Amino acid sequence: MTYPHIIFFIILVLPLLGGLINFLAGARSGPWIATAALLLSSILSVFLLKLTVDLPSVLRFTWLPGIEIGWRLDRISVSLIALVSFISMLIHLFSIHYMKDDPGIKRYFAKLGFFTFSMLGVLGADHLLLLFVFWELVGFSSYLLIGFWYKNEGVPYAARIAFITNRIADAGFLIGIILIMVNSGTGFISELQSIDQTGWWVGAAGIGLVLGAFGKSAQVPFFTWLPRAMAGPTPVSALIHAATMVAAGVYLLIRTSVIMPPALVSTVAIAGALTAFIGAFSALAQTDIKKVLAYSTVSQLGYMVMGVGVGATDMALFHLWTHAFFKAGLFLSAGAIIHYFHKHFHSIDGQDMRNMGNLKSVMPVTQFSYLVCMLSLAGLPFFSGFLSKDGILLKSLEWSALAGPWAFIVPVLGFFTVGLTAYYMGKQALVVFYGKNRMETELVKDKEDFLTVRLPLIILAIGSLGLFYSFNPFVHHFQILDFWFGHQIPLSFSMGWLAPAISIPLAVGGLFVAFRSYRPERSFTYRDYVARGHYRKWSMHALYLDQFYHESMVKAFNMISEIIYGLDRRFIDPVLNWLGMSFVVFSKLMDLVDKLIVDKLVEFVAYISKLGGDFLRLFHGRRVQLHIFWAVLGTILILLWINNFM
Amino acid sequence: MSIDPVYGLGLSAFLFSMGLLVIIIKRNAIFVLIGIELILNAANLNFVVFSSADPANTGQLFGVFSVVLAAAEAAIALAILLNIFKFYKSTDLHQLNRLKY
Repeated sequence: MTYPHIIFFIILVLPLLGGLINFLAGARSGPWIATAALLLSSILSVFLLKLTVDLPSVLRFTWLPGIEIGWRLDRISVSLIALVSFISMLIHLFSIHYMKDDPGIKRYFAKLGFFTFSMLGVLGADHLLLLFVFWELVGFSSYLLIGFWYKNEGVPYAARIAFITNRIADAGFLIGIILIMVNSGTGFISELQSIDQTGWWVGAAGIGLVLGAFGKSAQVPFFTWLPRAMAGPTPVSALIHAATMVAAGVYLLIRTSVIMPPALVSTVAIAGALTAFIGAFSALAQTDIKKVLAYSTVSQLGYMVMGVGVGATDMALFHLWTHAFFKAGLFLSAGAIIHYFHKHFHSIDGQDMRNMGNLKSVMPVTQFSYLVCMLSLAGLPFFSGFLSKDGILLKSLEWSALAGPWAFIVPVLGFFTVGLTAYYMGKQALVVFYGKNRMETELVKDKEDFLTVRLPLIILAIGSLGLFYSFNPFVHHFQILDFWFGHQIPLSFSMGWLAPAISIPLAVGGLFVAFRSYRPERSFTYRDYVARGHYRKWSMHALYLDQFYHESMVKAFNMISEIIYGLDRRFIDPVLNWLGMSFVVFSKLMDLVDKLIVDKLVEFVAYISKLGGDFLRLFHGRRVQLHIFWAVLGTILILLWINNFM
Repeated sequence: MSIDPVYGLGLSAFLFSMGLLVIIIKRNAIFVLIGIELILNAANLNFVVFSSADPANTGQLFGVFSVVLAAAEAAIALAILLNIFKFYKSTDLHQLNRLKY
């Protein structure tokens, strides 16, 4: 137990304690206590970052006899611990305002603290089993938070879908862990590099780990749960389903990609690129403000996974970091809008973009931070998203040049997604903030609270600026980045100029197309946004993947259940019935034996006793003279006996 | 002048047996009382017979005492019986098997 570990455990436990104390404290002060705990946690984690950035710190202890588990604090995990606790603190702050009028506010903050605790545990764990425990806690707390408004229709269903999809993927993860532990004898992530990597099990374990990561990070084919998870409160979507939890899969891939065979890593790259593309494509025709952001999250997670697949793990980590800032900012902006609608236009669906327009006139701060985060997501220079995304794209170009012509599908999809991203984000910004008010009622001017609404938004917007990470807007590393990630970022990209040269025109082009079709002067009707035509329908329903799962897997599962039910009825039930019948017959037999033999024996003993009693009773009749007679007779007999035998 | 005590004792045993027989077989309480008197007299006779060998004649003295006692006892027993009869209208021992009514 060294100095950094004590700090880490304080950081780990503080959110949980804050949540608990909040639960016991009053509804007004509780959320502030939880937020203060997170603030302390994030300050400590920056301190921890300074301590461990050059000096990884390992703690191992015996969990069960023969099984050692442990924690490891190094550059990667501590930088993410700092990220998670900081973003979580901002979201706690925002939630105070957002959940102000909700009767379940205490429960909400307790769950949020529980989630933060679990997520920090995932990041600090060095042993696969320990990581799995926290991994499951993260999944469970995500389930709790998605289902927070469990009384609303469809919300419990969405929570269940998310949970069960993750469970299916986690089964693969668990199998992978077991394979690794049984075959290599170690479960420590930091020792994976040095284990003997021959044998069939390495590939199988790698596939298992990839499945687990894909489930948590919403990759093809598991991503359908993430848009459904938007049923939870918006700050939850910002924290869990955009910034932190979904990044856990990427983190796992970064940590375990060392043992994966090259073919599997290439598959991961292709799956990531495919996810990036499908997510962006599905975001095109969405009308729900949160659904657009959800699919864009899927798409950005695809970039990160692609980054791991092409070997740019540091860039994937960087993108995870920048994405956490700008996507949390976008979600919180959406949350501010939804809250505004909920407060002033209660009867109108505050998540449907078709009802919005000209919101810049009533919420300028939200508009500002939304614009910064959105440009960062679209990948324009001077914003953070550009740095990290182009780092990944650059590496993917280099990788595909080495891997062969088939591998060019990865950068092609990646670059195509850049254009799509710029298009749908530009469209959303134009529809929501500009143009004319599309409601029948007038917009109401309402100044948001500074500390709990505008401050988190402004901080997240500043975190999305490129200057925050690199002084040179076109080079993907510099002083501040060095501080975060050390000196290990590979910079010898041979095609360094190519990626920005392709991606900047694509991003600007996407924004331009969006502006041309949704420019503020153009007036639209509600009907313009209804999904018409094939491409819009396919986009609206995310390639109908969810429906496909429902039609294929759920139906197949139901069919299998029917068949098994039939088999039960036909074969197993008769056997059980026969067994039951034979038991009844046997019992009847036993009953007869009891009645005829055991009972009769007992009755016979009783009969004998009764006979004896009856006989003895003869001497003790009611007549006093009889007593005297027997007494005299007895005396005579005793006298005779004495006379004859003594 | 002396009589062999065997005769006296034999008469006493006979009287005792008769008394016992009357007690056992008779149903009428008065007969039972008579039987008791017979047994008492058999005992008295024993006293007398054995006192013939005793110069102090203590046995005969006891005999006189117990005759007096027997008279008193008979009077009390008959009084009780009279009350029983007044109450139950019967002196049949088979019916008088309860002390509490």
